[in-house]
Amino acid sequence: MIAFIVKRLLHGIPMIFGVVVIVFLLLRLTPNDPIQTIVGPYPVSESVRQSLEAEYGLDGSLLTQFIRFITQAAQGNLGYSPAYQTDVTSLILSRLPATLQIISIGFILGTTVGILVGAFMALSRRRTLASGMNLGFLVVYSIPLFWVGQLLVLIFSVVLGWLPTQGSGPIVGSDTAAGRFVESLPYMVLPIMVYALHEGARAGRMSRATVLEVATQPYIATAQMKGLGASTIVRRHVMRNAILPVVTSAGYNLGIAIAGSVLVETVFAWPGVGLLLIQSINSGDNQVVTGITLFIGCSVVALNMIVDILYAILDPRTRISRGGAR
Amino acid sequence: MSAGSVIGSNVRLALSNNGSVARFLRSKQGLFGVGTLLVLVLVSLAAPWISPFSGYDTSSPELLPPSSEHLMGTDDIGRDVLSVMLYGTGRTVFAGLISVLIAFCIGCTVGALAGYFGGWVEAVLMRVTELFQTLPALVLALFIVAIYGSNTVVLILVISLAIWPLEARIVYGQVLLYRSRPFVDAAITTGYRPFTVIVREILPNAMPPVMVQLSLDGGLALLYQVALNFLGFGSAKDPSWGQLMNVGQSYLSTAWWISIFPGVATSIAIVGFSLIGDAINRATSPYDHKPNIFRKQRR
Amino acid sequence: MSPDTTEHEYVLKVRDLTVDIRLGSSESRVVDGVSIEVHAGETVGLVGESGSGKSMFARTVVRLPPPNLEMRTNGAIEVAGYDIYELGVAELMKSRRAGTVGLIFQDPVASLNPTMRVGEQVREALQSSTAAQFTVEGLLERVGLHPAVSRRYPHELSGGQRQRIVIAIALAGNPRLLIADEATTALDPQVQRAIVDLLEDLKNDNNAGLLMISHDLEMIAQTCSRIYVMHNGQIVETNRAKELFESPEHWYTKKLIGASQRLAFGVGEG
Repeated sequence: MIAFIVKRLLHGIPMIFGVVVIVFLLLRLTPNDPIQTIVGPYPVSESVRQSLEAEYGLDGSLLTQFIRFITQAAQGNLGYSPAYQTDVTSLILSRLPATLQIISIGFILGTTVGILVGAFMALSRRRTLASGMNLGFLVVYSIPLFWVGQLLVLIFSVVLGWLPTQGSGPIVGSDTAAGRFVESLPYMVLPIMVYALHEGARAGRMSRATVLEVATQPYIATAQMKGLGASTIVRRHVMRNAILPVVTSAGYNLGIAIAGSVLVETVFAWPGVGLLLIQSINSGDNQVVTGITLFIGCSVVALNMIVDILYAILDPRTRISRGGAR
Repeated sequence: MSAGSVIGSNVRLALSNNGSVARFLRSKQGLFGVGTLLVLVLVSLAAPWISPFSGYDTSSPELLPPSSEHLMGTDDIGRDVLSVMLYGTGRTVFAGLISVLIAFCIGCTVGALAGYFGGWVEAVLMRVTELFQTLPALVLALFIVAIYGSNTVVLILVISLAIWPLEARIVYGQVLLYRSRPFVDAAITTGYRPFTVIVREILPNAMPPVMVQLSLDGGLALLYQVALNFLGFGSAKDPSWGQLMNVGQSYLSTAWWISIFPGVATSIAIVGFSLIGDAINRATSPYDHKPNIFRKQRR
Repeated sequence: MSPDTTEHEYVLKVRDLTVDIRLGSSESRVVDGVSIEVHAGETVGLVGESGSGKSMFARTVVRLPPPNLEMRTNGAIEVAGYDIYELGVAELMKSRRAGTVGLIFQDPVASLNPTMRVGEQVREALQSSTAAQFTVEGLLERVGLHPAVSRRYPHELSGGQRQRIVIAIALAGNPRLLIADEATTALDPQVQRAIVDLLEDLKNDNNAGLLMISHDLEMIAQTCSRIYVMHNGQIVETNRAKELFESPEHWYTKKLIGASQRLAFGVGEG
């Protein structure tokens, strides 16, 4: 087990390194002026240019530049944003909670409901209903994430007027953090629903497949021979074996959802990291863009590594046998 | 029999689909998917002739809801939405297909080399593949757009970058599978060069899963195209579905038609691609029938 | 062709069983007019090649259709006096919990839940069984396992150990009938011997009937007192073991015997 974890870490760390390499290379390979790329569409005076060149080591070789780049990033220095007048790292960290809020709630909601509905689709006796639902899930999953958002806005905000269209809270809001949180709740509903629907559709389809596979295993017949009721069998035997793959794949999809945040947050003007990325690209604030890319890239690689390790820990089949034969 | 004809007959055997094409054409999903794709291609080619206005024509009154004159309404700068959709089909769909082609070339090469040669070649190439696959595609794409500017060519290349690992994985798996089969060994011992062996022996057999992945990739490329245009990147002046959705975002409460139609079209197109992939999958592998298990038996 | 039956009670009486299964749009008959009897204390063998219908027969007897097929049955099946197909769902559950029949499948790996400790799986059988008088440790010892094994997961055990767990589960309700469907096929030869001996012991302890289903004629010959030969869903011949081997009547029986390696040794008295 420990051996596996170490192996996985050894595998993952070069990956993180690779992310930095790719970002760096893309940054430096542009035919544009590197100083301008760093600074963005702001004028650069000669003295500023020289100090920047020294700071970023642009006078050195590509390798020394890279070393500087990675050591700075490792220390948490991702540069400075002229637009926000603050350093990139704190900027990202200040916007991160908003993104994580809606993604995590949406994911948990979607995966849970998806697993249950998927199991229902697999075990139900109403064949036509089940295959209709399966097709429905496919359609929902195929709809682009941002259009799901726009549709939800159209239905629930424009037509029904139940929920606000955009933003994370009223313009003039309460003074207390708790008050602001409460006020933001209605604004959270739709963005959360977007993630929940998308992830739920995916989890539902996968859950249906794994439950079907588990249900045809001989150990289910063994359980039936014990005279156990159908619900007991489903709970203790079917689901126990079917859930793990679905949940871990949700973990992997979390990384993809983080990328999707650029889309969802644009639709809802939700002030998270995704929206920050778009805004920074539009304003040419390239250090923020680079910083976010590095941050998200490395986080997702690290996340995948963690999910791999968790999966190994949770699946009894990969546990070290305590002196078991063969 | 000369070695050439033995080996050649393997290729013919692999390509003689043993009924797969017929099965594919019989499935509702396959036909719907292919039909969708055909419609898209035809529309993109025929747009200038079938479209009521030009996709660049801004002379109509702005923000009109759908009517008999403007079936899909007009947008904020006076373009007929239907026309923009028709003109934009080509840009959206063909750009996506080119991305898939490029991704296939890269992925196929990487996967085949990794699977065939093994050793450190395999280790390095597959690590790189995994790296690109784990990196969130959209974020990488946006980063590149930020640095290199946002025009059609950049978009196409960037989307290829997002997709190629998927192709590489499939080809790699298939090459591994067939690498040890007797007929490949025969080809190698006969002295055929690796390139010939891969292309003439292995690839024809690997086609089905690769084709499934290609169709899924088509849908993915389309999705990324529309997404990037929605976010405001890609050429803003030229008509495309994503660009319409970008405009529609600001007018959600007042002009719903600008967002709805491109959204529907994109969703249908993506479903079409998925169904093609699904149908190819089912047509080329044994049919598996699985009713439920808890049905109680009564005599 | 029928053997002379003893006066012992029946634990399994099957008369003219036919089973049709539907796959896609075609139907086929996999069990055709089969009649089989097993008495208390007997070891009866059912021999045939793969695809002869013997596994389908086993599943039909316990009313457990294979998960991905539709099944239709006709004929009479009595287990320890009950016609099991006359039971409603609730009664079927009750009869299962009574543990009258113990079923042992071929593949011990897939017969056990991989994410549950084996002791827990045995306890589950005991808890739902209305006839049980054992503890988990007692059962494990009875099948020849050390009680400490109960904390292991199936993948941590050897093939033979896993099969013993499956037998323990089958034993939980003091069964009157044990059905072993290719129970030893996946095991090493010495382990096979041990498992067969175990089954014999348990059968004698319980005064139960043991139906051994296999394609391995050798093993059947060594353990069973009466043998049924199955081919294409039909019983083509049945006799006491000794008579079957010394004077086989049906061509298929002869073919099976001929194809089997060593047969000069003693046939079982079961």
